[in-house]
Amino acid sequence: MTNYDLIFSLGKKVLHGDPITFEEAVALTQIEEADIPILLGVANKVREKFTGSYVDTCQILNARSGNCSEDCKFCAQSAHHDVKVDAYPLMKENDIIKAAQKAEADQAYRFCVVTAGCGMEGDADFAKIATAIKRIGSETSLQRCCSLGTLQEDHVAALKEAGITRYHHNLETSESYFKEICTTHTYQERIDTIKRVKAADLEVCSGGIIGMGETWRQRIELAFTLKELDVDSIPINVLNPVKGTALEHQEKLNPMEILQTFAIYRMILPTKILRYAGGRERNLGELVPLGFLSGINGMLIGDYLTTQGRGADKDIQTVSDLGLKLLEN
Amino acid sequence: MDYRRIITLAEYILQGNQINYEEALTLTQVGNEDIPLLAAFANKIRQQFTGNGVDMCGLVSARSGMCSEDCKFCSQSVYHATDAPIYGLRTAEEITIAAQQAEQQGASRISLVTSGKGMDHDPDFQKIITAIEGIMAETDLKVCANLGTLTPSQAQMLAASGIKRYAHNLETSKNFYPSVCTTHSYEERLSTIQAAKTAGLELCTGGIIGMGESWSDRIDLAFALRELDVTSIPINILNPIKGTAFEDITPPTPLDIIKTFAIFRFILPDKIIRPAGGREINLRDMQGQLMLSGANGLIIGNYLTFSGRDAAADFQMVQDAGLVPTNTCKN
Repeated sequence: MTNYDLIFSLGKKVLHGDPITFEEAVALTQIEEADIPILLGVANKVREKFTGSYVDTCQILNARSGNCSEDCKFCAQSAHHDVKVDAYPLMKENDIIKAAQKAEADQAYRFCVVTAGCGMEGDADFAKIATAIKRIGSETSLQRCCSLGTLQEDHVAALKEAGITRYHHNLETSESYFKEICTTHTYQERIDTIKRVKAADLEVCSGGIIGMGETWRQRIELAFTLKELDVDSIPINVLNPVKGTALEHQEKLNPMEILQTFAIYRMILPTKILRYAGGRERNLGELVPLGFLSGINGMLIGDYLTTQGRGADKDIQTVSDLGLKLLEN
Repeated sequence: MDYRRIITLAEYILQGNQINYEEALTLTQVGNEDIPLLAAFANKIRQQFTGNGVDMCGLVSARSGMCSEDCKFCSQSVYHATDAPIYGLRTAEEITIAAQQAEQQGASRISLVTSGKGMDHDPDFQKIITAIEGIMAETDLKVCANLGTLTPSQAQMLAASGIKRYAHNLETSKNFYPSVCTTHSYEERLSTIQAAKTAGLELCTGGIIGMGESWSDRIDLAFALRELDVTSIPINILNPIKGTAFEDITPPTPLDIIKTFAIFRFILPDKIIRPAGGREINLRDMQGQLMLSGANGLIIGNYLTFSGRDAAADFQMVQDAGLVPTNTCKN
């Protein structure tokens, strides 16, 4: 059996509606480099069949930045790192609304309010954030999401009441690698927040970052955990090693391995939104559009939390060049 | 079309067989969602038959504008009012400097190009030979020439000067050619190609897509090139220049372009397929995909009458795609 026979036999299985196993997914990490484009082509077919030609775009707002108590090794906003990053308290409501309007003008389908910090427990800003989110609903037609860290049930209920349809909370990496990435809170704490959100019938956007030194098996482990949690949208960041963070010297992944990761995620999660996030510009360069031919069907557009994107216009042009369409409100 | 047809044809080629015209034509019916798969197999064919090297070639426009011919795409034709530069043959020294610049940018090959129908009774011909000898003496570049129509004896003289490859496009299919040029015939192009072959020169011969030709015209061109056994195939994508007869043509989409390159690779498994002019404006940031769709050459730096992009971006793109820009391409 040649390598690409394996790709097609697993492709047929997925296209037929059957799941692939953990070990089958691992086998896809071991194909020859020359066969990676074939895997990408099959993942593209799977994407087309299960999610169609629409690309789900979102724009994020760093509404409160820096000074985070947690020690996530990749993060420019951690108080444990000496990074030159803009730190500021919660933005004024009017400024949050303006940012949402800009996202709408950039043709984002969703808008996500993000705040630095471990979570909302005893956080005086929470009520203000909920008010701002409510107001975004009356002043734009954007889908509203937020990413505020750990939540308790009452927070979830209040956010649902404020009108969010989806909550973002990454797992960041696999359970087995998480302790290398963060020691100030547990993986279980993250899973608990996701479960609370799901229990309230809200959608979940949860993914992670690749290229932090994890193994292929750990990357696959994350995909299967996300599958088990039945999350709706999976943002995949590719590490952008920011100077001053613990991972600043981490070696870059090679572009073909990044695309291969997207394709394998698509094979594991055929019906979900796989979302391009931070680090794609730096790590993929001119191969960024290939992500959309490798299983990706969503993206952050505009800037990220602490790093710049390549500009919404360019991404929108790419989507149209590929014969894909933007989801519209 | 069932995607399994792509696999069947690809495997047939990977086993060393040639696909026929009808088979190539069925590949033009591949739907958008299967184009990446078609491209992936073209990539596999490229890898098996040519390896991972990418031949990087620069151009020197040695004489520009005032061409007597009416090629509808061309900004150098006297039939068109364009902003293309007009100058007579540059001095041997200027030509050498331009070649050295291309070498510094990383080109392994340079093509010396002159506007005009061809070299018959052209007083510049001897000076061009001198300039070619100058480039060979001053650089390590492989030198090609692109001088239009040649007589058999001129082809012999070029071969004697040390040139290994002659560039002369067919531009499009025989069938579509009269819609592109009326001042000289397709047969005339074929006889120059024949003269170059007889003189022992390799050929760099391709054309331009997106001029309004049909899919079968594109396939016709690929088969004509296969029959001529040309070594290198530059494929331009129409850059509709203001003032030319084709200024209002809407160029093909990126997916259509990628599909064309992939099908060319299926038809011409072991040749150099070289994205040329128009790739920047028509593919935008999809150029990286092209490098994984069967292409294994590039024209870098500026084109004849319009700018390319920074050569460094092309080198980075080639490396990101896992390929190797090479000075030692086996061809």
